[in-house]
Amino acid sequence: MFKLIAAQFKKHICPYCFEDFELKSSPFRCANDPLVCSPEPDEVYKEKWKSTLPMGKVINPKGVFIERFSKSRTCTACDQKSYDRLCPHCHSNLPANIGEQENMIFAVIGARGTGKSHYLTVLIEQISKVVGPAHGILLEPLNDETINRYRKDFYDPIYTNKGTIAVTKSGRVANPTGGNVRQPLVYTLAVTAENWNGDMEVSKAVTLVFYDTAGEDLDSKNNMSVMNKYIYRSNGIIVLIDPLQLPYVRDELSSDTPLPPVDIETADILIRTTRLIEEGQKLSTKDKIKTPLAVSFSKFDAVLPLVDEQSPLHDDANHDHGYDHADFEAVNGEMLSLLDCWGCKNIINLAQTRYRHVGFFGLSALGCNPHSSNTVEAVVPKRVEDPLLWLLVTNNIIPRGDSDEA
Amino acid sequence: MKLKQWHYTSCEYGLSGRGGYQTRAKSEGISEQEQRILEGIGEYRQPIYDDPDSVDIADHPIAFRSNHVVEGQLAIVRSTYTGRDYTNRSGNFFAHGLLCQADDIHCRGIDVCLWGGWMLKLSPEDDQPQDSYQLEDVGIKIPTGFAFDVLADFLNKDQNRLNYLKQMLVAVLSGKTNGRKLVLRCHSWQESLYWLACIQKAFALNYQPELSFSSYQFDLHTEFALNVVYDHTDFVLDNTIIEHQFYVFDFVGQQFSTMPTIDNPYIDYIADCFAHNVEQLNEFYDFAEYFSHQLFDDGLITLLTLYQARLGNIQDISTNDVLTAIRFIHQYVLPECTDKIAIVVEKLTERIMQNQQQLQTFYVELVHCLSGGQIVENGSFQTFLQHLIEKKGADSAMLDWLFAPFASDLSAFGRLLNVMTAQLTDAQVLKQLATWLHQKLTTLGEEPGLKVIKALMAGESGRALAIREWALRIQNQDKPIECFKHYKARVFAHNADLSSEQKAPFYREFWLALTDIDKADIAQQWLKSGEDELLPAETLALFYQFVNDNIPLTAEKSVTAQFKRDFRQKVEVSGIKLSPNTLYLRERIEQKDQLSVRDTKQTKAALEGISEENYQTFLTHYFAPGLATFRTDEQHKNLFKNSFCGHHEPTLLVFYHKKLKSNSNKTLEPTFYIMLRFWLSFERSEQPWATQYLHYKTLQILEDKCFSLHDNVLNKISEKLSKEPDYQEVYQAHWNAMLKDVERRKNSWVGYLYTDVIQLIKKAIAKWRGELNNG
Repeated sequence: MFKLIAAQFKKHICPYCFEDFELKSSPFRCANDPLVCSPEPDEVYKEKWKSTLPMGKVINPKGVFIERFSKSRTCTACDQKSYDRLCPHCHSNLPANIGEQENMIFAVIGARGTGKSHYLTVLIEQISKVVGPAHGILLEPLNDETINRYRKDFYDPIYTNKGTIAVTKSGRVANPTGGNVRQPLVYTLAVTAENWNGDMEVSKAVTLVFYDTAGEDLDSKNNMSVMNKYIYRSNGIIVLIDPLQLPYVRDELSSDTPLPPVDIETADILIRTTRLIEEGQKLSTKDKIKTPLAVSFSKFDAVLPLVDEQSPLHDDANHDHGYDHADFEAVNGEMLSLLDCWGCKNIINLAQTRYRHVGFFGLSALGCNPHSSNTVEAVVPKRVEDPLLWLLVTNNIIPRGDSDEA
Repeated sequence: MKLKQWHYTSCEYGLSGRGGYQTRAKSEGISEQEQRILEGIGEYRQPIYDDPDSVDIADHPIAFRSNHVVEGQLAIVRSTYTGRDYTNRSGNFFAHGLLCQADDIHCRGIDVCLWGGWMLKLSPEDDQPQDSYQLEDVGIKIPTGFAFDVLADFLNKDQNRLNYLKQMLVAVLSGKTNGRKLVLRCHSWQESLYWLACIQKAFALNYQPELSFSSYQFDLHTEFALNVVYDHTDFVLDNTIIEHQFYVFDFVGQQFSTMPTIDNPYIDYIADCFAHNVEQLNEFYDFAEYFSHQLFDDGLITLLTLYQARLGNIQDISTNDVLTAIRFIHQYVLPECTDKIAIVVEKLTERIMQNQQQLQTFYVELVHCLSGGQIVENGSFQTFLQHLIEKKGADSAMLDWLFAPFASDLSAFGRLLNVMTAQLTDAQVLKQLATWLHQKLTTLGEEPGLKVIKALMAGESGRALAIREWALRIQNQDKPIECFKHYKARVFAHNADLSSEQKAPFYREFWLALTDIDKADIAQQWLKSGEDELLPAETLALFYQFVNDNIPLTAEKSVTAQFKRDFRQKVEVSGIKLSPNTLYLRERIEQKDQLSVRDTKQTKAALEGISEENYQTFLTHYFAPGLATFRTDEQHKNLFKNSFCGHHEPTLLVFYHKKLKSNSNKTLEPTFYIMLRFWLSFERSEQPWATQYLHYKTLQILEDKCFSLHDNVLNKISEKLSKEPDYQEVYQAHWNAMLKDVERRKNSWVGYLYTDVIQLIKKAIAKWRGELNNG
């Protein structure tokens, strides 16, 4: 009970608009059959998302003290109980378990063409189907929108159609044509463990929010108010950097390696992200940023020819016995060495100077280079889960494994 | 008409300075904010096909979108799928946008969709760095592919289409209140454009901001009012969408939302026009543009009511409709179109003119709907007033309720009166209005009344009314002089720019309303202050005449030389002729010893209009001494002639004859002979000033006198003749002429009279001749 009351006063972050709010002030939306309780336009939703789609009636919080702590509210129009809690700021439907578990936002950002959408797709797939079961982690989409969107926009293009994901549309503008580019993918990540009785049960659960951004959206601080919040309010940031944009790498790779067009913005992404967090969290340049930062080099399969064959980057991580921290240390060290060699000391300096927790990763979502063909015959991911697991460990969601001790 | 252009796609080179989705190029003048809006409108998500590579790029839906954006601008964008971008990734699209002021382009967004200048994609060879990413403004000729007659053909081709259109219009109107937007699913994109055009053209240009459309919509969360959907998108037409979230017209799947039952004359009228008389829509929409109404509410029906009224179809307009219409007019009519609406107001007034109570309600609504003091300047309102007054006259009761709403705004009250009087052509109505106003102002009290007057003074017509009111006001005053003084201080002083000509009528009414005692008092003041010159010319003449008439004719009462000099000068300057001119007569009397021919002529002029009493005085003091002093018959003639006053002829005769008779029978004065000679030789054809009566009566007296003084006369004549040796010749000729004349007129009564007198004279001459011969 005390936990429940405490949750009412705790600040939560809306996974849609990234504004913080208290549960006690959140309204509900009537979920009754539209035949019984006819939908109507929601002015708050319209104002925020430019959508006049008629939806269930909004049931605003009443002054009655006890009702504020209730997990449901009764529609005044149809007398039906509703459990669909809304964000008071944007009237988006909040995860049903909000208040009961940690609500964690992990931002996946990167310059254009770094493979964010592909990474996100394969990451979710890997966590939910491969790494998760092995670690006792359950990753479940929280709502139908997430299921549908993941299926249509992410999974099908790669896994069903064996192709690549279309260019992500910019979400930085007011978009009267609709806005699912704004809608995040929301998952529940549950960590299971054996109880005293030997049964498996959920020991910890968090809400994970992934927000697929277009590289262009990170172009200007002024143009990404929602993006800004998504980044500086996140619990961990995965910055994807395309190594094929690094001049040294482009020079060293064999001429038959298909290369993406040069994007001069790649090197600046970390600088812009850092500045954005500074401003959002009101930090000075001397302050260390507490948000863990996973600097991840994507499309690593294409640059493996430049990596020593003994490097752990050639291998898959083995997290069968929990998160392999020793492997992380090894990869991190290897990446630092490589980056130094590739002329990216500035990235290392910036990350290590400004961030309290930073890790360097090399990963490949598809395991192949689709630049010329745009086809993906088989998805062979490599180390895609490493950054997320490291972020979960850093946030104490999952335990650090003991393989390092081993 | 030039439109700004904007291009957006995923390209390597563009305005952002880096690759990716970006505004590739735009016209000068498109702001950052406008650019972002265009980027939003131009967004394109390709349908999610099971096998994307099997679908030709050209088979992807084209998204035409039209939306009214910031500051009255219309954005029309064509977005189309272009396949892979410069990085070889799929999902790219090209958006070409046009931006302009909606009022300037004067067409609907759907019309522009058929423009032939849309850019379809950015080819790889064009994706090169450029010196400038600036586009030229483009001039377009509005395509006529969706002209009214074309749409009428489309709708009339299938008998159900008009019904569908009516249902769509119901959906559009209902959607404004329940948020349900319209969704179309058609057999072809061309068909969907026709439907969009029909809907857009079912409303005037004012309403187009409510009719934004997207000819291809991927997502449920749409801001467009009209949406066309295709398969393979998030728009899955399930029951919730069809029955609760959108108004769906799915011609492919034959699914249609259950529509609310609405009896809407506007929709019926539009459908009827499309069916039978589509050209009338142009006229109707032109009419709609007189108003700023842009909402999908009952105002549409009122707009139609007004249009019908304009066409003269007022039979079916209820009085409630009239009141609603008048509210609509004054809420939405554009200031520059007020005059064009006047005729409609007039027709509406006609509808309720017979019912006083409704008329009053109408009027109160009219006033209520107009904004404060601006009401009076409103063209429609003025027309209404004119119409009302022409029909009803300035009935006191009507005027009472007409002005009741302005009881607390006396300035507007005055200005309204100004307007009313400007429109009045009937003097009788103006008089009625003045009478009512006077009563009203009396009720209001002096200070509020003067406030109204001040407002009235601002206009020429208002001043005319103020003058009439002033006339009534001053006539009913016990103390008119004080009243005028106060009026001058409060009204004239407040309107400092009033000219002398504008003040003159007030002075006139004041002067005319005064008693003679007050006039004498005021005359003295005005002659000193010069205010007499503010009187209009005709009143100034009365004023000077009054002053002149009050000058004593004789010296028994003194008049200063200064006054006489000043007054004479004022009269001369004004060019006013005084009749009688008492001052002049007085001076003549004073200077009778300086009698001259010239003076006597002026004296005659000065005598015109003289009173009986003054004439008597004048004869006594001027004429009588003159008779006694003249020495020739010419002098006698002049004196008589100039003292003669037609109005007082009997007085003159009595006076003159009394003088004649008063001569002693024995001692005939020399003047008698002059008078005799004068009258005997008198010829009225040469001296038309004297009447026949005067001539006859005088001759009778002379005859009597001659008979009674027979001997004396003869003696005197002989004596006279003998003393004047030359007289014989002259006189003989004269007598001969007289005799001829007597002969000529012997059949008249004058002839007889002459005969008698001449016989006497003949005898005298004979006697004289005898004496002469004997002597």
